[in-house]
Amino acid sequence: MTVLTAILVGLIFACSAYMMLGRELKGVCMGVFLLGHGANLAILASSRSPVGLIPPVLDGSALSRYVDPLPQALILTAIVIGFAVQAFLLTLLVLTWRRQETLELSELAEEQSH
Amino acid sequence: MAPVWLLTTAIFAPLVCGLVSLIVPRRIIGLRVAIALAGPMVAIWLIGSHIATHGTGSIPPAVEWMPTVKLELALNPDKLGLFFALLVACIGLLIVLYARAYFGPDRDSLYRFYPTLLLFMTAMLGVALSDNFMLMLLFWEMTSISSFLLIGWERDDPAAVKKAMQAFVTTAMGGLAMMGGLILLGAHTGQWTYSGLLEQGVHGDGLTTTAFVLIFIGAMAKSAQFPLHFWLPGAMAAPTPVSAYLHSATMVKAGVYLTGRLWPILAAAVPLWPKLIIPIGAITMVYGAYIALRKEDLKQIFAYTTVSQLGLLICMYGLSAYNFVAHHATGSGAEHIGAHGEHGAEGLAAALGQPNLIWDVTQILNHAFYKAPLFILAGAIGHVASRQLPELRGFFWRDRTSRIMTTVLLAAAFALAAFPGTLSFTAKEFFFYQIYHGYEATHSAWFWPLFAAGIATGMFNVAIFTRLFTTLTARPEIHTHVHEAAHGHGNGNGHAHTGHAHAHDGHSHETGLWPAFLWIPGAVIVAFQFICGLVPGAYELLFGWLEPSKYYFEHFPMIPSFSTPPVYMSLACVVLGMGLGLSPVLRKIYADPFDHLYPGFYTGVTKKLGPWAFGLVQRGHAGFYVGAVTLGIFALFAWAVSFHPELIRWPTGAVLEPVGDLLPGYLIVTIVAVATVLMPIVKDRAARVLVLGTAGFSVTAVYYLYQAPDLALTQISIEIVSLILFLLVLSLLPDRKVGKPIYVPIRLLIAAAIGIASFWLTLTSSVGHQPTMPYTTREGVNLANLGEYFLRNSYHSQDTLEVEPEQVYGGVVDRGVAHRTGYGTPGSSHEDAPETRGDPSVTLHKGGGGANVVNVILVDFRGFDTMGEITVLGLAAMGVWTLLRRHPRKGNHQASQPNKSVERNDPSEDPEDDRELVTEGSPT
Repeated sequence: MTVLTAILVGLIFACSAYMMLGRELKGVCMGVFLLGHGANLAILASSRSPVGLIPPVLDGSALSRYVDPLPQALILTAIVIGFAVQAFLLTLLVLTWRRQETLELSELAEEQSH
Repeated sequence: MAPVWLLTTAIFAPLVCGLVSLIVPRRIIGLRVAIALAGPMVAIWLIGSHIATHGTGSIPPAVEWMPTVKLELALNPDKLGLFFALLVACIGLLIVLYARAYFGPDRDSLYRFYPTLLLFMTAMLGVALSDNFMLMLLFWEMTSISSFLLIGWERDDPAAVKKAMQAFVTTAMGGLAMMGGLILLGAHTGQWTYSGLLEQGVHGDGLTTTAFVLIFIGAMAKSAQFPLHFWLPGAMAAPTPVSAYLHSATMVKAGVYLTGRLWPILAAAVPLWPKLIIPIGAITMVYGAYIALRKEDLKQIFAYTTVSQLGLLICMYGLSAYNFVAHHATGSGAEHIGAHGEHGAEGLAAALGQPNLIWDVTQILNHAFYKAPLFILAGAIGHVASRQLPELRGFFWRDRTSRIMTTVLLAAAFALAAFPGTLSFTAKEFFFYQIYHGYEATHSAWFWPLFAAGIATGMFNVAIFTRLFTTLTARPEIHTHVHEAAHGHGNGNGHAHTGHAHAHDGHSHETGLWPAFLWIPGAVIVAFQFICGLVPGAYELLFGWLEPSKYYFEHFPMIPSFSTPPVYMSLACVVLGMGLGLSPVLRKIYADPFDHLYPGFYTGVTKKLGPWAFGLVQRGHAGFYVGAVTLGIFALFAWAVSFHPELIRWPTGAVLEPVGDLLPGYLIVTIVAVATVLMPIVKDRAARVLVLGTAGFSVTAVYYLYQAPDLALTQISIEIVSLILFLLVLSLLPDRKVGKPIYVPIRLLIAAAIGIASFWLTLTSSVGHQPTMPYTTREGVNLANLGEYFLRNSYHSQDTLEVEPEQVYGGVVDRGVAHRTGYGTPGSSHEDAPETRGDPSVTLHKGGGGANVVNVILVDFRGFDTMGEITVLGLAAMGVWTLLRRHPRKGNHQASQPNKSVERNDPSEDPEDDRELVTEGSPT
């Protein structure tokens, strides 16, 4: 499962990097959001393969049977903060469009230089 | 009450009184003044009762506060500390009265002034009495903050605010250096209190010297030593009660006080001490006195003489150390001054019988006794007339009040010039004697400049007195008559002159008893100068018990005698100074070139360095950022590989499972992968959002596979909300097709590199490589597997609490925990449970108390992180709300809105969601 997840992480990072290098803000933002998933999965992968293990809810099993709870706690925080960032970024996007009437990076740069 | 609590009450009494005064209605001025007076009075009374019961030597047992940061409530009421605290409280008492007279019946000013002043008083008492470094630092910074508030008293005056910032930035930067020094000293020696350090003694090694230099930088900034002195004259933008209190008598002495505190600890152990301190003090001393002579504003003159006097005090600590070491160059025990004495310098001096210790309380007291009155009278005269010396020509002859004020002012200036008959004379003699003594001991040529500096400083001070005297008492001329005619006599409306915006202390005047308090506090204080100077034994009786190390006194009577060389130095000062004061030279105003230091620094940082650094890293091109991040990651990885070459080998144990074994995994990963790849390809905005949603929902399933039910639940709720958010926002954004994509090959290349790198990092960090370092804590937990720690302590943890197994493991979950840990039923189950390897006796203590380990981590182990997370959410919500409110749609768009009439929602609603956006309606 770990190798599989690592491949997925690589794919997500590659695609989001490609989008972030684009020339339009909407796509860039989408790339950032996608990147969040990739980062979360990368942290999750560090809890090693979950095959044959049980969730970290104590029920009397031996310690070695639980998956590592720490990455999960980290990701839980990351998901929520990621959402806050998402909302804020979208607001900035809307504001940029309202004020500049363009989301093209090249045009925005021109307007800034004026 | 325990001594430590008694003194803590004394420290905080002023602050409490200040806060209490806030609930008094503004118009009741009498009660307000009474409450403000109660602050210092209670402090004096409590400190006095402490002295009465415990004397001046005992160090009360400390109270633990925050041991992890070495903060504890440790107070050091020795002679120096008590003296300083009493000085602060007593002068504060008079300043409270003076402020009442100064501000007059201006109820708003008084309402604001007393709490701020009393906050400072608390901070200063804290600095004086703290024994613990960290505690002292807290109070130290509190004085900086209250000083900032008081200098920037005229909040509408940009110049005053600028000066306040200048003072704050300068002293706070010094404070930072000092913090570094104190932490270094504490970490290096293992002692975090002065008394502890004094007992233990220090070695003068490199780290101690570094710590000393850092601490001294803090003292320099606070006590306005050259070249950081510029903030003190700038601080004269404050109301005069503040100048008289903070910036002459108390706060600026904090650096001197700190030097005095460290003197018995470091002075002889650190060879750099005299070499660093003497020159800086001497330069400050001469420079301040010189500039003071060439100022015309009374407050500026006195500010620069304060700088000069602070330099003298600092210099004196250097000289004493020099003399001490010189005397012990052949003797023994010079290395550890503090190692011998129970009470610092005094005990040591008694033990060694050395006359080379200092007389610092006298010096500090002497300065307070003339400088505070000078400022008080400068404010008073500015109040009724002007603060510009040329405009005060013949002020003495104006009326009765002016005669009293001039007399008191000149009496204080008489002490400033250190004429015989004042305490100041004795203090200056001590100082000159120290120079002479040092010269006698070593005959070093370096003492010649020091002699010159001492005489020059005395000369300038005498010249200042001479000029004040001749100007103020000059017979009225035509000019003065005109002046008086224009402004009227007495204190009626004499301040109407507006030529100098900041030179006036113009406040509403009143009649009755209060105006007299413009000069009474000054007269009371300056009286001590003459009592101590003229009455033999008076000083010894009044203040001698506060002096920690009085070993020059045997050499010096209180009246001049021509048997000692320092007296000739004094004589030279007087003769030269009189001549200079009467002569026409050095009369032109001279601006201190260091006034430009801070503005230059400020402009340099904010206007040049800041934009330069910003332009360097913030290029405004996404490609630059992505490239920099990618390169950085690769560089870091290469660096790691140089330590762990196995990082570039395929990790053992990393195998791709056969599809049949992990069918759900393959399915879900395929779905996420397809959605991911589609993201850059799909161009339609709605389709794109749906694809992103697909990826998000499928990630939920990955979490499920990873046995993370909490993650899956959270992700699915967030995914639903964010999908709705997206769909709503999308309607507000254009669906313009992007122009032709440029640089596709390069983009693909970078993306592929990032993808491969992140794949490899994820793989190598997840499989195989265990950290080789033995990370263990006191409990023997292997931190390399932090998750295990949480699993073990989520419900309870092992400690020395003896309990019956049944008590702990009642209930369903508890039974499970008992099995899990092996506690209570040793050997009965699970040989792989690591705890059973250790001591089988049942030792438990409270853990998180929850079975869901992830939840326990979030709310218990890392509760503060979760609080931070909530804060981030709140900030984002506020940001969204504020931005959307402040930047509404452009006019032409709004005009075309069909539902423009929809009212904005109640602002109190949660703005995190998209309601704000919805109410704005759809774009055209």
